[in-house]
Amino acid sequence: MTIGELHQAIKMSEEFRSVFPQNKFTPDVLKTLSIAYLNTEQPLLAANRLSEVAQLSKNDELKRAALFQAGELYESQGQWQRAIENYRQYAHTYLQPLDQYMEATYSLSFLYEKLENQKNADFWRRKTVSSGERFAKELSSDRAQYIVANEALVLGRRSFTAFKRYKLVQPLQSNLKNKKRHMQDASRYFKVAARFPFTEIKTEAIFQIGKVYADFSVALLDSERPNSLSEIELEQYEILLEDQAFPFEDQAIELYENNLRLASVGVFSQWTKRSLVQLEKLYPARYKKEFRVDAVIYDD
Amino acid sequence: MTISNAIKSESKFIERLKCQAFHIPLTLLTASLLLSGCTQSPNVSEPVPVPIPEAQAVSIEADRLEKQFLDTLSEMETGDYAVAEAAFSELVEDVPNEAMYWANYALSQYKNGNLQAALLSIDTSLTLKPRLKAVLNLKAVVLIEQGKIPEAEKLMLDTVAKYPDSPKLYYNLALLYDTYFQDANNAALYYQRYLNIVKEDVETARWLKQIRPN
Repeated sequence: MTIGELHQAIKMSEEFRSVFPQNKFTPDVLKTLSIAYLNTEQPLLAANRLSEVAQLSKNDELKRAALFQAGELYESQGQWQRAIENYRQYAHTYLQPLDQYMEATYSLSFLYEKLENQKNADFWRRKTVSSGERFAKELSSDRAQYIVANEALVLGRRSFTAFKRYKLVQPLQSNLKNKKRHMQDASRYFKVAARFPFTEIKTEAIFQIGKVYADFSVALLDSERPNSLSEIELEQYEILLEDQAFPFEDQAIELYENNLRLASVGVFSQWTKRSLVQLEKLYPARYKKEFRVDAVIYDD
Repeated sequence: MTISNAIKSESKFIERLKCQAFHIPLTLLTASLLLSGCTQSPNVSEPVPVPIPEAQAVSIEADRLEKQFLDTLSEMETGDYAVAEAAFSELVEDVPNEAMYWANYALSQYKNGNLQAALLSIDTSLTLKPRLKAVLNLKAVVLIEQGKIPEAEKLMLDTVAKYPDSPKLYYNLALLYDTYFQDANNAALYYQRYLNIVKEDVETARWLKQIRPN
């Protein structure tokens, strides 16, 4: 078909669509129209027609494909709000196939982030991660696994930032409760991210869990002491605090060491080095050492 | 061996400088001095350059390179690695077939964090002189810094098998097992081999006591 013939076909199909909007053939005409618009490089019009296919068609597979493709086309044309509408309808309707569901939720968090709507972006991130956890065995493609790992990492970082905002000062009980809640969220998300085999994400996630625990240990030790304690009571209080804090430091050391151990099987990134830097501070007797090299002369 | 010791004990190297390494380039230098005299028109108002005898030119050039080498090693010792790297760069340009210059150039590049460049210089050095165990040790350390831990382990094991009298290699191998493999058995084994050679390292001996499996 020539370009001229294509434009003629588009004109006739658009007439049919407007005269018979409820006709049983209209969804097929819309589908044909969307293809014709794509072939004549009119992606926005193609997206409009696909969006209509998704509303009118009785064929569920066709509806699903049309919704997703409309979302992609709107996104490619910078029509973010309309892309969101299509992806959102897709994600609320189709959990399977899982890989494509992940693409839709990933696009939603990306687009909401672009629109500076962090609340909605995180809503879809949580959907991605919880689905990834529930159906972990069904995540067949590397891409889907990457999406889950990456979104979990972003949520983990977010929770870590919130965790750091709470200082252990009066009112101690509520601040401690909030800090612990964010610590648990952060470590949960980082643990999800660490399950997947992507070097940079895995090593960062392990590092970050270690950092959460190490920071919590320091926060406990630096926490505000109650005014009402006598000298002896204060001493006992300090001992109790140390008992609480040191296990977190031990866990942090263990996590950083896990990262180093991964390097011995070739999994290495900047986070491995950063883990070593942390270990040098936490356990200098073991880790603050340098490999030895010196100037080279023939007598060596 | 420290840099100071290296400077003190490099008499053999100086001998080499004078006898072998610079023979060809200095012959060319002398020839070019002579030729430059031929291509210029004689000018009565300017003094005519007196050709330097070849043996004397070799000696002057060897002295210059020796001084440059020792100065550069001193810069390394004081931690001025950027200056050392630039100076070694000139040295390897002047004398590209000298493995030791390439090796120390690599060391300065490593100290400056230029790991990929260091590896290239190391490989050039090893091509010229494959049995320099200090260079093999340096290569392993650069590989560790790059995160190529299994590759570094293999290189170190191969090297200590060939050169069982290498304390630094034993130490580094022990540290590698201790740090990245979390393997106390192998760490203890190689710390012990290191201490069998270097007896006065109290700190390492103390550490070995702590990690030695019962």
